[in-house]
Amino acid sequence: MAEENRRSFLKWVVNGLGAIFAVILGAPAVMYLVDARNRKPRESGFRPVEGVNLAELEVGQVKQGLIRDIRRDAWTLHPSDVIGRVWVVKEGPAADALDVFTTVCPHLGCSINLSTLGAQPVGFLCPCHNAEFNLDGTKVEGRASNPAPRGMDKLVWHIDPTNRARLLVDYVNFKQLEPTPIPKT
Amino acid sequence: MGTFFDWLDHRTGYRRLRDALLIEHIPGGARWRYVWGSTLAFVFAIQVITGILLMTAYVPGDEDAWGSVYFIQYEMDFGWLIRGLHHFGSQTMVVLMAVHLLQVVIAGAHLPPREINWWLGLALMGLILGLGLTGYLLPWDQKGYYATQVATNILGNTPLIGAFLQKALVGGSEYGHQTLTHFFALHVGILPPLVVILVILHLAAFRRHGVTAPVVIDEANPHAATAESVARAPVHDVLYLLLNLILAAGVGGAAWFLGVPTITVGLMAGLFVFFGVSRFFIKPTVTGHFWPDQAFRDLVVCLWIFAIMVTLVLFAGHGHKIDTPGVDPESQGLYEYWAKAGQHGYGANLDAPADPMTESYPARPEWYFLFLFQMLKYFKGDQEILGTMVIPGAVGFLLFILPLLGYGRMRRFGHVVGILVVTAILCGAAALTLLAFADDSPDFDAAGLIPRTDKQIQDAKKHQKRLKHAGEEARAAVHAAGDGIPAEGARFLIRGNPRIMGEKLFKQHCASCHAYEFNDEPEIAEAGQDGDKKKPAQPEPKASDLTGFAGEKWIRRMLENPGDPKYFGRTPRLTRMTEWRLDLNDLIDSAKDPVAAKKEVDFQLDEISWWLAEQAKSSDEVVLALKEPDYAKRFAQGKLFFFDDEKGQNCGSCHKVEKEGNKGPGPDLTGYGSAAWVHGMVLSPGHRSRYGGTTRIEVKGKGKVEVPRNTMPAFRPPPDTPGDKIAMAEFLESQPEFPKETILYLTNFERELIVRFLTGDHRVVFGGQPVSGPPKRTK
Repeated sequence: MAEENRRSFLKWVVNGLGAIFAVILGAPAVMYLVDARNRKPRESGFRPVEGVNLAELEVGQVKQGLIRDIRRDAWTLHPSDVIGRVWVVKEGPAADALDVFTTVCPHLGCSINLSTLGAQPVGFLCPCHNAEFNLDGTKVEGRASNPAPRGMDKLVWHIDPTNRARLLVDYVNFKQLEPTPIPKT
Repeated sequence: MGTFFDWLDHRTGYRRLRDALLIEHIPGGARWRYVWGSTLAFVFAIQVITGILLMTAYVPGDEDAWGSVYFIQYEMDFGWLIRGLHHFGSQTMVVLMAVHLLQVVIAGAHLPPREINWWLGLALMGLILGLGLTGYLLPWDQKGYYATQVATNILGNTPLIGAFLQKALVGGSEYGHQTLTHFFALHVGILPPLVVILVILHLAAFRRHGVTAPVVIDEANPHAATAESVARAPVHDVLYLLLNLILAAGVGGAAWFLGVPTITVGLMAGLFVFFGVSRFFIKPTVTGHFWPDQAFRDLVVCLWIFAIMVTLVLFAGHGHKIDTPGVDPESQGLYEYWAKAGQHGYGANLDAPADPMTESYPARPEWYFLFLFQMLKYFKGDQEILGTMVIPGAVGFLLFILPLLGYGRMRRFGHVVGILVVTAILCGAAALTLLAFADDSPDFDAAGLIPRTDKQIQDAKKHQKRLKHAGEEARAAVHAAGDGIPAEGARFLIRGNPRIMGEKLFKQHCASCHAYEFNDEPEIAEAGQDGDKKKPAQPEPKASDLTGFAGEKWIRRMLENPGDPKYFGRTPRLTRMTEWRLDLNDLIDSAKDPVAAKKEVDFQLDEISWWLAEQAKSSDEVVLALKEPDYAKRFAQGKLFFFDDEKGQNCGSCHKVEKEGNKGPGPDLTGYGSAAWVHGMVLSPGHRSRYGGTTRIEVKGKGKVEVPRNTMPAFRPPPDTPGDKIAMAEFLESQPEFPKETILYLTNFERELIVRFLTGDHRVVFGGQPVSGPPKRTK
């Protein structure tokens, strides 16, 4: 019986030590695997829209522009890289009659295209699942198949006070499939 | 619960598998010395786990490999620990293989009927060494890069197929992307599965005959030993203790010699001492089981070895401490501190990024390959193959045939020969390793046992100096990497590093005229010269000393004595500052109260120096600083002293700053000392905004002659691209009098490096390569 007790005790010790070791190696391993939680989203800030000259933008015109910034990709630093694209809609003759939308679809993140009739812009259409939006960015209602969860995401913008032809935009990535725009973390 | 496992067993039969693995009879009982095979399996398992973790973050590509390892080591939570365990795990496996090998031959476990298992073991040894070799390259740092070059060149030297093999493995005739992808595939996808397969066969073959116990099997019970054979004479226990003490001293001593931390050496030696002593307390038994008796011993020693690995990660890594911008180690929480302990210098070393541009990198293989490395020193030219293939091949063959010497009546002979051969090989390898270390250490002569010539000591010193330099580059690279690595690849952390390449280019292009106080180490003199150290030879300077150029102190001292050789003393065509100071001195001397006048002038010059040094700051910085009333007041005062004729020094009569002051003849001091100012000076020193215009000097036999004031060459981008061609043409057009022979070439990238070095801006220069493309296709 003493022998049985000894063996049973040893089994417990072996299992226990093994479990302790598993935790010692496993806990740092898990923290290592989820390290990406430490990566911060891009700080918000106004950046010039490349390719859109407000002085030349006509009423009713829709233009696509590029947003450029430093891009830090884990260890690599790209000092000036395209971080996103925007649609700029000139709605009226007033200088501030503008709308700026991200090109990222609120449905599942494809890149939204402008749809035109001849040369006339009539709305926006996502080429992936046919999410449809009006020129003012609102979701087209009353269609049997419009998967868009919300309208196109409007970005905060202002006109550069030192150069009235330059549009500055705070570019943000929003979560997909939410009924309202929520910035990604 | 019980019913669930019954249900599971009914479906899967898992208990049979479990029992097959765990139920093993050990005649003569479990013993501490049977643990070695298990420890190898244990460390290999750690290698697989940490290896897979590393794979989740590693990139096998020329530009990115180093950066990804940097990121693991210095930025990812516990990356330093995972990588450290993997790094030291490989070395631990090599040591354990040696111990396992020795223990096997001592026990006679290689003798028939266990020959095949011996051969499987030898194959496993080769695979593990292959894993070490391929893994060493993957960080794509200097030491892995250069050490592995040696290995692949040896492969290339194989008769007949060498060149082909080398090219296939390296992925071309030079190292690059495919060297990494090939080594990576070997390291993670080919060699480890082979190890797993061979380990399974090794274990299966081992189970066929069981442990090689020094006992006689009981005829009545094949699982038990006879009581007489188990009983031990006390002298055996003493001998066993003695053997373990020798091993403790040998392994501990070797580890200590290799620079392993004391605590690790203690744990290593302690393990053997523990083994030796344990025999006195454990009663011999006739039967024993793997589960749990042997398993317990295995696990205890495995954890002991894990503890050794952890101490190595903590204390033997020679990692580089870095300060991360915005991180204060004092205010870091305990978790943050240990999660990012790589930044505090813990974990495995990471050398500077691999760069074929490096001169004389002191390449050495990992320590367990040093004996092979050392052997190559004794063979020359076409005999090299003796050292690279013939001798290692012969040793391998000898190991291979060892069990064959144990057939029938030769068994005893085979046993002794086995012990002798393995001991001799291990001792030979140890001796060669020692010699390799001695060759590299200036003050190591093993108490006179290894005679050294002066030349050898010189070489060792040079090696140490190169090693130190390589260490500094590694530190600089790691430090710079924190700000982000250029997409062109991690090697640009060095190539674009102002503190390294900027200084080098400054020495090359500027130091032949300008003096500069470099933080140089004295050169090591060649043998035969008296004295060990001498200062590097510097040419006699012909222009100002640029140490601390345009800083407050530099300006102030220049204003105190512009004719000093450090300032304008060596440039006889630039005389106006010196004349100004002489006039000022006269003015002070002729004042009513010269002491008070001198004091007043000193104060003004102090403030002018400060104000002028502030010109190097960017306008944004100054605008921000001017919001401070004290700063604004001082700034206005300095400006007043600079420009005002009555209350100041009227410097504006010669110098322009921004929109105030005269256009000459003194240089334009707008942004004086800033990068932009220095760029202008380097590109166009004879421009009217720098040292333009002419002066009259006395020439023998010709009397006074008018000459340009500037004598510095213009360093222009080489006109290789259309844009730079135009820039060169424009320069020649705007300054037709500029002497053509003093137009020298310096690329934009190089100029930026020099300017950043000079202005103390240590950020790595990104990009800057001339705009270009692949060569045109020729159909």
